[in-house]
Amino acid sequence: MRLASITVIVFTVIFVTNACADIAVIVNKSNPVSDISYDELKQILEARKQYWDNGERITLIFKPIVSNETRTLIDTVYKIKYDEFDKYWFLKVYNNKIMEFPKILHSTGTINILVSEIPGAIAFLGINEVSKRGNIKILKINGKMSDEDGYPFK
Amino acid sequence: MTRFFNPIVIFIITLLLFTTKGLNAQEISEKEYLRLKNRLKAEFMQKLKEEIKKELIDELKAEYTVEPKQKQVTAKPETTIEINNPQDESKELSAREEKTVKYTEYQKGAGEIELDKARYRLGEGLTFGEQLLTIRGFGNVNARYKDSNPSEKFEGGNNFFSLGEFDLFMTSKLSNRISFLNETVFEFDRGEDSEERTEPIEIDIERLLIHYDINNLLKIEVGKFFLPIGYWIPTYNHGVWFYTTMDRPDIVNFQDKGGPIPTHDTGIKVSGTALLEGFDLNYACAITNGRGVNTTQRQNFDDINDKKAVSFQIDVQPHIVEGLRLGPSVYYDVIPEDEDNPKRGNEIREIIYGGHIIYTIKNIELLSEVFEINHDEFSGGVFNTFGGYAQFAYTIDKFKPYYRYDYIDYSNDDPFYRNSEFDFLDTKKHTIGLRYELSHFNALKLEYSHGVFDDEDVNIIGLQTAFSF
Repeated sequence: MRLASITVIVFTVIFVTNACADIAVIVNKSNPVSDISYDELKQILEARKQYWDNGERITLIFKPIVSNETRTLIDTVYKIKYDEFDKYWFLKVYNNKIMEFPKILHSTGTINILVSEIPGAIAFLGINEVSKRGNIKILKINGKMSDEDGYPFK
Repeated sequence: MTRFFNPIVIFIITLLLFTTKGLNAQEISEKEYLRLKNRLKAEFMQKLKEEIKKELIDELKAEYTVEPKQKQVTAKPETTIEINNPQDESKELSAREEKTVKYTEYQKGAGEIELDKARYRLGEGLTFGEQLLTIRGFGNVNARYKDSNPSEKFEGGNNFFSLGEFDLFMTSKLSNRISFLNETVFEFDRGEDSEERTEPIEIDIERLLIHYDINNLLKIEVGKFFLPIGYWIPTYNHGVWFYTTMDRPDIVNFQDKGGPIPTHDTGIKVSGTALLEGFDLNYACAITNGRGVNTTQRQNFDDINDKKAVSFQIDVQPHIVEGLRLGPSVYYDVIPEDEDNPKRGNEIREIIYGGHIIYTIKNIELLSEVFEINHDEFSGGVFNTFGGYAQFAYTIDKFKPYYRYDYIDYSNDDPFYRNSEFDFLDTKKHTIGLRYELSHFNALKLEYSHGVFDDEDVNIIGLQTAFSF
């Protein structure tokens, strides 16, 4: 009984910790943007804005749909059902609004590397998953870092 | 006696031995000599070969060890310089450490990237090769029952199963800013003689274009594409799985199915999005070959009257109401005269005005479009057709109940529509239905329609399974 209780508590703690993980918005260090408004970020996420102001093509990189980070984005920005995420992008490709699907990658290491390598890349990771090495920087949103009050993806 | 016996024995034995030895020597010289000679020769050649081989290997080894040695030699001074420079030493070391870690991670990650490419590309479907040709598609199968058939030109059964379109959709990114897109549809046709029911398979290249992505404000498409008229045509068009309902609204039906508005054409299209304060402004403008002499004639290779069609669309997305889109569109063309049809002796100037209001957010879907089609025969006759639809749907988990109202009022004497292979009936139709998401890529749709087509009442019940792959 005690063992079962401990297991439940441990799993609950793990789940809550993961569920509340802050999302860091990371870009390539060469990107001149270091503080982005929520509205602009929304435009990027919805592929309404497909180029950075310096002319670099934006490459969207997500973790899989089952991840807390991507689900948070779907809930707060896209406001659609998780099942419809694929359909959302497929429709954009179908009516030729975008040239290709965003990248969905399981490995956080790979996401870090891709953001390091692609000048126009933007990705959404848990704050603890961002590599401290490499050519990456974390963006402020509306002037707030992820540990500050008012950060939209807490 | 013994003195004599011993020498005699010794002599005999010696004689015998000598004789035996002589015989043996004679045999070796004849048979074994050649064998021995050959063996020795072979052994010698083998040794020689081994020696040569060894020498060659040594030479090759020597040649190939030169490059790494040189590399090491060139690399060493660089390192020495870096380390001996006290000002930059720590910076360089950390940079090198970072590079090393990055390279190691990169090497480690390369395989993962490939794996990820293969497994986790969002909805990209089947992909081939380095250029990543992505293939997806749509299909649908229908069952319908209707209590009467208002069309006089197409007689068919009232209770049937039917195969819908089989749609192959392909894209390939040719470079960071250039892509290719193709949509090819296979469908059964009634055939020219509907009584024989030959049902040939018709293959239509509905889209074939190359897309140049310049920036947010400018994208160029060259080839055959969806015309920028209204909302449904450039958004859903052949993707039946995208439709909430079983069928398209009547006003935007395909030309070869009796639709009054052109949906595809060949030419050049420019489009883009301006992200302005308070709203997004999407625009699209196309110059194309335009219509042929009748509603179904295509002009993919040439333009009969050399007069180009122009279409222009604006779509505004105000930020204050999320999910709202609205805007006008206009299409202009000069339809060539039909020399084979005396009633179509004149060119017709066609102007189509359109407007759409769309609201899609969370569970709510509201689509509405109106069109006015103006045909001016130049000789004096002006004919106006008006039509539109309004569709509402609300998603509850996997269910999506919907309602749509279709309306078209054709001009009675419009020479373009009245001299066609289709009836172009005035339409007032109510449709209610239920869409159920059977799986992520498969939807079941059950619907009932009550329509009045040129004053004839028709009830239709339909069931459809629509899928994407």
